[in-house]
Amino acid sequence: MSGLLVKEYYTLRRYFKQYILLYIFFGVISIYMESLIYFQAMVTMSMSMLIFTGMSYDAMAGWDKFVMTMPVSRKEVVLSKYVSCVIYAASALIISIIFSVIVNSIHPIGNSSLMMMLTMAATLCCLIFIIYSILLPMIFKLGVEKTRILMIAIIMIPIFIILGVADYLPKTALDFIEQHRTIFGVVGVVMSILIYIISYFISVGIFSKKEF
Amino acid sequence: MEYLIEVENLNKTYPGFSLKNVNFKVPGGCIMGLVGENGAGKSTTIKAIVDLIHTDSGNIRVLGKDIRKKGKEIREDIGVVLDGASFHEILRAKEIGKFMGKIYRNWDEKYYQRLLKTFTVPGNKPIKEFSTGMRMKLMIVAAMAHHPKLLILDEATSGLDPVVRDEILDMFQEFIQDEAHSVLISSHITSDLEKVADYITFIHKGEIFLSEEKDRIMEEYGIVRCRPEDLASIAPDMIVGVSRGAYSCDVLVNQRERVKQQYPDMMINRIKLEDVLLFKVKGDK
Repeated sequence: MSGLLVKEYYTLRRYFKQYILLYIFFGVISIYMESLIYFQAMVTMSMSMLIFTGMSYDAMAGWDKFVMTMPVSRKEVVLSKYVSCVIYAASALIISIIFSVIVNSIHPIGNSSLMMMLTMAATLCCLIFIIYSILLPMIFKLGVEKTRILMIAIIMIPIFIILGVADYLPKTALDFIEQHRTIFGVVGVVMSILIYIISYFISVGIFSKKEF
Repeated sequence: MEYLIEVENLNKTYPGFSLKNVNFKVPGGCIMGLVGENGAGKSTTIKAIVDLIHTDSGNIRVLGKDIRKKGKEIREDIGVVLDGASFHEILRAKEIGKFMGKIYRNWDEKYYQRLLKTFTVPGNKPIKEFSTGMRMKLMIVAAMAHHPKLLILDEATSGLDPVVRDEILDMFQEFIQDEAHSVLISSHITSDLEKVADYITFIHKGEIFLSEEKDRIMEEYGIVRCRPEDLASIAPDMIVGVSRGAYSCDVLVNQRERVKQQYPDMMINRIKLEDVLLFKVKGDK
């Protein structure tokens, strides 16, 4: 499977160079806005899009069909994509932390303690993994092109639901969450990891039945 | 005799097309051509051999093992070039070597580099700047670089100019000098196969109608030109196909010598491989 990850790296490495420029731009804006969360959100978003870029290239080349003529099992093909997603999310997290540590050491921005950063990062990661958990099986089933249209809906719906629910929740409930935020955080992380693992098995099921 | 590919009673039905009871065997040390018109079932057969599709019934053994059970292990020892399946456009040949070396246990980077050089495939240019021929050369080089025992190629020589095609066909000839090696190559360009193939398997509408040594086909088959009224006098079991004209008919027969003896005044010509296909597809019986 390591070969598949190395292939992913060579396919996308031209994007990495562009991303450096992009991140400098995001960094400048987030310092100007005095919001490290802006940087973090943008980095996480752009990093998590890489998996779809990679899969578009796969589709264009007929790679899925080609790779199945190599000594690679169908499980490994799926696993390589799920591992790639973890790598992208982890990279986004590391980049955001490095950025905020540097910014804080030069010119501390009020609302951005490291704890706050990590909470935000964990929340973002959970959200991203839940989105991946829905999208990856769909891509394995329908292909990138057909999923692309649905993608926006799948990304926006959970965000709106969360924001909407938060608005209508009584203040006591919000306080309750606030008081027990560690527990809620841990439960959230564990849940999203579980959903991610279940999604992997669903994708393996779909991909094993696929004909090329 | 040792067979590298054994296909037995393979059946696969799609809406509008099906492979029906496909049977053939590829012996060691030979090149087998799989010949048929577009849509005859060549690619489907090849896909079944490399386990890209689920078959309805039948057995497929590759290198002596069941492809459905030992797929990953078998694929270490085969090189496959398929229509519409390739590396990403933005990759370069050099980068391809880097990850293929991690995918194949026996990947030979030095040999890969040498083949790239021999076939003048640039290592540092993205594939999207390659010509059709160059792309195909890269695919074939990549399929050879892990020292496979069996090469399976689907329409691999179709887009190539005669010079490159010759180079590649020569490479295949050299490859099968080892008795443990074989090549299965599908094509609708029969002249390529006429040059290099040892065996020819003809497929039409999902059915194999002839799988035989090429020299034997060339030797035994013949085309008889006769008047339409003489047609009835030729024994039907010798007739493979008939092409009727206004004043004469051409008859493809499978026992040239017998026809010659029985009808000494009929004119019998030798055939080209494509005649077999043409008579089968366009002719009537």
